[in-house]
Amino acid sequence: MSGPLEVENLHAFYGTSHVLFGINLTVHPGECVCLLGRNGVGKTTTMRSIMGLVPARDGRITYDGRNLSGLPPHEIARSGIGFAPDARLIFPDLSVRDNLEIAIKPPLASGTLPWTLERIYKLFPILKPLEANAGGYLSGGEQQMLTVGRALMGNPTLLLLDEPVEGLAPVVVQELTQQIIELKNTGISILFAEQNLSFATQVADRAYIIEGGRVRFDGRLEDLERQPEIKAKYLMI
Amino acid sequence: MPTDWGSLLIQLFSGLSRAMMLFLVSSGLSLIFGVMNILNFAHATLWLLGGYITFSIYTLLAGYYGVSILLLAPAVVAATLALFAIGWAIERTLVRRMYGRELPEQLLLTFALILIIGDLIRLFWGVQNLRIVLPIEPMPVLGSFVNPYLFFIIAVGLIVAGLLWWFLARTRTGKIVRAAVYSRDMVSALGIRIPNIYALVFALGVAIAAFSAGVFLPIIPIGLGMDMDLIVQCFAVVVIGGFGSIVGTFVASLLVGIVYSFSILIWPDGALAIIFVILVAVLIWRPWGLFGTEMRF
Ligand SMILES: Nc1ncnc2c1ncn2[C@@H]1O[C@H](COP(=O)(O)OP(=O)(O)O)[C@@H](O)[C@H]1O
Ligand SMILES: [Mg+2]
Repeated sequence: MSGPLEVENLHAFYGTSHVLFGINLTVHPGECVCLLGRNGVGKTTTMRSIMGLVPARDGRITYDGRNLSGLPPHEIARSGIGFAPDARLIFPDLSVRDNLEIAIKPPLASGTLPWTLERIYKLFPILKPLEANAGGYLSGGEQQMLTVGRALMGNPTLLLLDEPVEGLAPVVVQELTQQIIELKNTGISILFAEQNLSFATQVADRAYIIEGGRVRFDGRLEDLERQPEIKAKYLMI
Repeated sequence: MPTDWGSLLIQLFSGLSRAMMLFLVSSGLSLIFGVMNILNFAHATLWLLGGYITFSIYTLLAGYYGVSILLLAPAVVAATLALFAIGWAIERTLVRRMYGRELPEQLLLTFALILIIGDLIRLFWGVQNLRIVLPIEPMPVLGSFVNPYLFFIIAVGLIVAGLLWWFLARTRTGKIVRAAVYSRDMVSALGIRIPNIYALVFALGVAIAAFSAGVFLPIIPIGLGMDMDLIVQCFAVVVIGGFGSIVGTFVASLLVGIVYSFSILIWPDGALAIIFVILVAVLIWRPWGLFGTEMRF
């Protein structure tokens, strides 16, 4: 089992505009944690900073005892973090299979069962018959599953999912929810961003509510249920 | 204008062989831009350097073993490998500092490279044009004579184009390169060491260009300044085909090579102008080129 992800006092900028104002968060091994908040509050920026895709101006990010601050994205990925971005970024002229195979990276711990094409197709059966199709011609739901599958092929111990069910049809959301719960049961740690409480409550153990680049609430989802004023202030209901 | 079939055929073959050279130089230019967003103005100057190195190695070998077309092969291979190494070193030391910078800064660096390499060539090889003279009998074709070496160039060009296609379509590294054309960030977020991919793409592009310079030595003499003519045409090819698209570069090379070759027959001074008319027409019709795509992340 790997160590926790710890983000301390994270500040991030786009050019001169200050977007994150000292984010603090922790994801313990095996935990499923949600970053909740409306559009534009800094969820994506937090994830991209963890991944090294947006330079953190201040603060400290450690994972599994390793300081990630200042490392290039490929080093961060190699310390066991998988990333499924909100834009999905499926490589459009590569086949579904190539999109998965390109991402293969051996597990860090020797004892773990590695992800294979077969395991990905078992979790996301829709992808199997599409194997030879170009990634650019998938539906939104298929693309999202491929994005998660691609991240899994690198055998991460922590998965970052940025709004995995955003813009998907309700049936697809249901399907993906079940699949993410299944994934969670494999013991992988998950940090995901979400705007809606309903999806978050189904999968997350704990949530951070973000607003204006700051953490405004930190706790279990049951506790959030008992604080309607926080829900009303920071979330879309 | 001569209208007999023989001379038209000759023009076609010379257009096709020209197209092969354009493709071999432009494919690297296009890949380097597609993957790293760098416009390598020094690309044709490195091509020229490859030609000079091939010339020297060939001359050395011919001094020992006598004039023979077979000696060109080891000379070309050695120069290609040398330019691969030089390309790798240039990317690791200089070009990498340009990533994410504005075009004027890129222009400054690559232009400095053009001047430095040009002066080095002047220093080592002098200012006179150099060529390899090989005893090749012209072949009669429909009443005219064609240099059979043109067929060899076309065949070799097609083989290298095929190998490049195979590399990009079938190998893992090639697929990573295509993925990087779409999104460098996503490729590196998968744990792939993107700096190595950058160095490889740059070195490979430069090596393929050097290869074509060597292969062409028996039919065109090389000299200072040729790099400038070539880079302008290669940019036209890459823009017409669509930056980052190898298929597009291939089709545009055929188009430009053949059109140029026939234009010279009709209007020698306006050949380049005709190429640019085509370029403007393509840009109006499809601003991202024949085979390019609009979306990039
Ligand atoms: N590439 C960018 N350049 C400039 N500002 C950006 C960029 N991306 C996001 N922002 C701004 O940063 C803030 C946080 O955005 P983001 O992290 O995407 O929020 P969320 O994911 O919670 O919707 C927003 O105000 C947004 O407008
Ligand atoms: Mg977002």
